Amino acid sequence: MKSTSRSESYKVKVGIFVVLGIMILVAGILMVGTLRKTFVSKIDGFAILDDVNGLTKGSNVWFSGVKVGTVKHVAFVENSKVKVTFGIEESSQKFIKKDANVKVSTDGLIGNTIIVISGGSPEAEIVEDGYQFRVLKEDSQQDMLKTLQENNKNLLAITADFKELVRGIKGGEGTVGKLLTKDDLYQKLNSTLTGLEAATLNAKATTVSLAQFSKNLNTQGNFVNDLLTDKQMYGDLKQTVSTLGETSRNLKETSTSAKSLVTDLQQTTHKIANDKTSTLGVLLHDPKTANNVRNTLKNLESSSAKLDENMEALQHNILLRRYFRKKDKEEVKADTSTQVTTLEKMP
Amino acid sequence: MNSESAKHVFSEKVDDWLMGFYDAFEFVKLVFREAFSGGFEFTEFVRQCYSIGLKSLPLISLTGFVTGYVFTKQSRPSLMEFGATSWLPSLVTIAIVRALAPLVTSLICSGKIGSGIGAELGSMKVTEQIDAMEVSAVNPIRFLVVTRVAAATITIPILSFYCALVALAGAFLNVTVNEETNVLAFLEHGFDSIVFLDIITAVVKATSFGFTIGMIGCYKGFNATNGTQGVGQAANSSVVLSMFLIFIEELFIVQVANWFR
Repeated sequence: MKSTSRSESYKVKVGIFVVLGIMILVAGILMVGTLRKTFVSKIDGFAILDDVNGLTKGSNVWFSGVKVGTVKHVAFVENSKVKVTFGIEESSQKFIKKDANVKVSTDGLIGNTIIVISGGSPEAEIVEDGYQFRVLKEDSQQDMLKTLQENNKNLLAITADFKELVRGIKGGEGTVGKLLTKDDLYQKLNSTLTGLEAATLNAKATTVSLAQFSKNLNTQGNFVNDLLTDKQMYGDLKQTVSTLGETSRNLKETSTSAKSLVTDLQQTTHKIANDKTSTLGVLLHDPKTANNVRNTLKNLESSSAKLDENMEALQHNILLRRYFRKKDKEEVKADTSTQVTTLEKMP
Repeated sequence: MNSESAKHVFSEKVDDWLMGFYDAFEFVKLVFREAFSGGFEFTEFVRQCYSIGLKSLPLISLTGFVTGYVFTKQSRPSLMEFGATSWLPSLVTIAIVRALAPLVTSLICSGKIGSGIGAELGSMKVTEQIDAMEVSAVNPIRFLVVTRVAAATITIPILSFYCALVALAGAFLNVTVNEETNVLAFLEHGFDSIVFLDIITAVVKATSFGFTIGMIGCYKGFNATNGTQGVGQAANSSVVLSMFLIFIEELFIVQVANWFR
């Protein structure tokens, strides 16, 4: 009885043990299945690549960084190209467009080789089962390393040049080398810098003065400021300039006329001076005619004096005396009214 | 000298080894014949499952946990040099599922169970209990050997699943202490590199290791001679031979599994 009871207890315990063990196995299988998308409906896609870089069956397929499937088959096709067939889960199908590209990449710098689907425009159609993806060719790690090697060589060459340069400088070669090693050059440079400093200070002072000057110019009421800001003054100036222009033109015309007049006068003078037959030529050149004219003028002068005496006599004549008195009165009256008008106008 | 050589095909040792190999082959044949000839001793089988499997569970759990923890701890510095500590879950899971869990479980069981079976059956042999069973019409192969071999073949894979679980728990503990990784992230990263072939290979390995441990223990115990000294030799040789064969099988199964990758 006791043995039977123990046997039953063993059976229960062993049963639990086996069931739990199988559950662990099933959980492991489910986990792998879930991660491998084994139990998910999929569509197939493929791409033909030149180099798959170690891609194998079971490698992951990523779209926008999310795992959407796994590689199903890797096989050679003609011209040494490799056809990679991969499954894409149906739930992701609607997001993958026909203009998307595939490339072989790695999940990290030294990670597993994977297929990466990228790109695709919203207006493009959704991929279908058996769709052939376009392949995006990009630099492989080997290409990057090759470029890096080239950069290293360049860096080495630059370092060698720099070493040479430093050696030259240290040896006092070139401008920088001399500057570092020659004391007199240093002194000269130092004095130049001192001069430059003084010049800078002067420039600074000048700048301050200019700023002050500019400030003064900008002060309201200043002539330059008014000139720049007062529109009326600008109009006046414009008018003045216009008037000056007109005056200048008139002066030019006057000058032209004066020049013409002078020319005429010169011609006339020249004519008079050279033509001895004309009246004035005779007057200028003939002494006899000159004496006659002088005598005539003397006679005229004496005649005039005599005429004045006669006229004075006429004023005192009884017949004409009244007329002259009336005339004097009118003149006095006219002078008085002129003086009164002038005084009224004075302030 | 010539008469001595004439008694042996190659030499005494080689001939003995070949004879032992033949005897073992005949023993396996006999066990299979008895196993599939009807009349399975289920109660004894359950008792052996309890003895081999359940009683080994605490030892396997502790060993597995320590293995997972230590393996992760030892792997970290190497990965840290490349800044690839995020690969630890993946590395540890691959190592545990593909190799460590079946191997550690089998080695522990070969020491604990193999020696136990060898000693138990050896002592029964030298004290003529097995002969007595035969006399009393009980088939010793069916009662003693088939049940033990079947129990070892079934329970060791189950123990290896437990071992994998606790080893992953140990690895997770180390990873989460250092990297503060979430358990789901750990499992996802870890099992991302595992494929069904790895699980199938692990089950096949554990099953074959269990069968080997049971069979070697029973064979050595069943062929024990020279009294108590023979019992000790049977226990000892069953452990050594089963461990040796476990590594040979590991090598063979890994090679075969790689053909399918």
